[in-house]
Amino acid sequence: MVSARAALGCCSVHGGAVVVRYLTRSDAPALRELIEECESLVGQPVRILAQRLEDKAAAGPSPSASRVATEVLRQVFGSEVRAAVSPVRARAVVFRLASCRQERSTVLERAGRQLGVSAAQVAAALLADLPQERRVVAPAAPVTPESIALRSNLGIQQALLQRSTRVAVSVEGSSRAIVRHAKLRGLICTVHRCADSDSMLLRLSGPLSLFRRTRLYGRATGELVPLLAWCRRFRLTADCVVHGRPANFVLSTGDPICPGNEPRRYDSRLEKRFAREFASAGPAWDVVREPEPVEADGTLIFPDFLLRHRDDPSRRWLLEIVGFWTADYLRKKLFRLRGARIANLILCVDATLRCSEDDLPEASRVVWFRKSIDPTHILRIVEPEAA
Amino acid sequence: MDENTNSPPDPTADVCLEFDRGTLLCRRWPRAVELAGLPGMRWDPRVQSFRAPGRFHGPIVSALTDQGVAVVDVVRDPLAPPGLVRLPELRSYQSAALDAWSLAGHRGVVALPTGSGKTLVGIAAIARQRCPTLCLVPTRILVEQWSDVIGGALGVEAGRFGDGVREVRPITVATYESAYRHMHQLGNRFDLLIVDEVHHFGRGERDESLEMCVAPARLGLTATPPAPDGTNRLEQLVGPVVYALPIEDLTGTFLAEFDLVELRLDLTAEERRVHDALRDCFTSAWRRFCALVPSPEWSDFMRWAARTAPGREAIRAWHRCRSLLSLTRAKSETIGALLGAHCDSRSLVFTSTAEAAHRVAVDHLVMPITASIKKAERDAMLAAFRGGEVRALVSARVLNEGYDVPDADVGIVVGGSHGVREHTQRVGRLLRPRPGKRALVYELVTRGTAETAQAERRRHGLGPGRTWVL
Repeated sequence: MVSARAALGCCSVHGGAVVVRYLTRSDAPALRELIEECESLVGQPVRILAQRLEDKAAAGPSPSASRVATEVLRQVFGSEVRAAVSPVRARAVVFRLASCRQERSTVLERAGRQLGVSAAQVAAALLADLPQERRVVAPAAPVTPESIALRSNLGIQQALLQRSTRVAVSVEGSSRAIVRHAKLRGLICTVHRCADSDSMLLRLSGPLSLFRRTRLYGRATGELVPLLAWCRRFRLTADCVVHGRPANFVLSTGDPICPGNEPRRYDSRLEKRFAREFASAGPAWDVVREPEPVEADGTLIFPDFLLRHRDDPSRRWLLEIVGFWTADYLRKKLFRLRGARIANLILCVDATLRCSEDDLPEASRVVWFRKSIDPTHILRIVEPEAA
Repeated sequence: MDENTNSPPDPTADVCLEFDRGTLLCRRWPRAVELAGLPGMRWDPRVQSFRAPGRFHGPIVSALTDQGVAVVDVVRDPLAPPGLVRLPELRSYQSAALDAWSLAGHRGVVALPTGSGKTLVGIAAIARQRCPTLCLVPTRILVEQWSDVIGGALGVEAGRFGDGVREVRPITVATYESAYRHMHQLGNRFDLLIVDEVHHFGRGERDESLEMCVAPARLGLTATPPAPDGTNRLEQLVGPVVYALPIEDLTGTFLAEFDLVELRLDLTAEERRVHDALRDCFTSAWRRFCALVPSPEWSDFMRWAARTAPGREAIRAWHRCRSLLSLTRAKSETIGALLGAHCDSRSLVFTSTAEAAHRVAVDHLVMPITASIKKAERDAMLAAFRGGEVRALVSARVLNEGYDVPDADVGIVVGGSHGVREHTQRVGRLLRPRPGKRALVYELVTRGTAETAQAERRRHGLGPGRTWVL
């Protein structure tokens, strides 16, 4: 994360659109200089590093970009306390002794005698644990201009999204990961299939966004940026407030994005195990994780798996795994699925995770399981002729 | 499975209200009921339901009940009421403030001078209401202090929310920041909301925290109520000012008398040269900006200046000038002299920046109380200050607001950057009464700099007749 002040220094507004001055390959020489400056100051107080980086950034060819990079560098280069005696102990002794009518030097000498170190060491230890006085330490892995540029750009993008009041993403591939993240972070995500392409349009907002332009959800939307790197194509548009003016920020395929960890392929070990066991039990079937969403009742449903016959791709089954459930939940789900006219759907329901004592809704193709899903039960449904 | 859920309206159902991440959501309602006219209620096309901010819970339920509509209300999920062991004793004006708040329907702002025991009014409100309570305070240091005072005054352990700790109890204290981030989970769990230093709200920033909370009873505490701005935003969120007492009404009885001495100091020749060069660099840019913009605003200037190299140099000059003035040689020497002169008193030194506070700490061996010092050490040092083992404390902002500083007699204001309100808060730190006490506040002001005008404004803010300029 970088401060909004530094990040917005790299942004300007033209014609209602945010123009971002990203850090690119052309910044590599300046970044290399900043990195070398940091390396030369290992062991020095953080305060000196901060001042030197600020001076260097101001004097460099692009102060705003360098200022973002200096913030990233200060996070990359850590710090530690170095003192001959614990600063907390030194303060406890010195500030108590200082209450007597004595000269500063006398107080420090007396404190030194008590603590078993010299007066100079006591003076040096007094504030040695404050963030600005801690000593710079080198990072474990080598630092490159490219990695600093990527992290700086991520910081700028996230700072902009933190100031956003409304976000929409049109995305091809990996939309499930984005929807999942949005929901986990308490966002409301409406999903629509774009008419003219294969992409999905996800609109992200929070419950309170209905009433006011709020930045409350900016942090959650900012966390989406690393996930976008795993999408085939995307275009994110955000209504932001930049330099006190409303402006539109666009982030799309090709912009420099710092990729996060690859989204988890499976949500649980149960899913992973099912995919593996079904693939070996039914070699005639492809197990497709994260199939295309299905429209149902004006919204989209993201099934867990698609089972597709290798020789006859028209034989398709959607498979859904239900963890915690209530009868009412299952009833609504089946109602919606029936409304969507999804015929070939198998619900696998965990028999041990029932959350209410209501009667179960009647439904065919519900497979009950305990601990793991038996692939032969599924095969019996998808291959009735074999059964 | 991820999906967008929305249920159709049920024509036969009662109005069903639930809490949804800081808002009230109505998924089911009878066709005959007109929900859009209810306070704060709007149609949410994203989920095909009606929605309102949490704070409208009471008015919405009342309006529906008045219409004779049956409501299935599952909004509140309150914690158990706190089992209070003892109740706090109040001074007469604290009781009066609490009565005024009760008469106003348990909504409103109580404005009392710093040092007059605002926290205790809040705690007495908890004791009187005996309901789950969320207290919002500006800093994590104040979370610790409120928790300690609640433990001492009511005999119950308070939950803490902030700075990585997430502990919910029937009485919970949270920082503004953590309340802002977590009110979507906390908003329906409390019946009383207390907002310390409430003047920070009502201007748009972080107001969402108060919007998302359903607590019907709300008490705002402040020493400096904001001037009405026509929007009445704070009044909508917390309530009107129901009780206010100025410093004058308590001085001499519940607050100590005080004198304020302004010491005019000079820069050294070298400091003057550097100061004037920095000031000229800044003022030339500022004048250029003023010539371009009819009603210049500081924030606009900063944006304008950041675009050009001379502008950036001007901003740097401004920062350096402030840093230079925060602790000049004369100020440093005067601090030494004053601490020596008041060696037998307990003194508080206030600086404009944490850096200046740390320099005073090292140069004059005065214990710093800044955000960088951890709670255990801070508590130990405050106890030592109370017991007379430590003679002075220096702080930039931590001691400004709310923090319950032990009795002190001498204040040395070395620099400030937050105007009249900050100054009033700081002077208030010295006003804890004691028989025969007369507090002394020194304000160090550098001649021929921006500080003289700032000091003038601060003096007016405190009221007439207590300042001596030397």
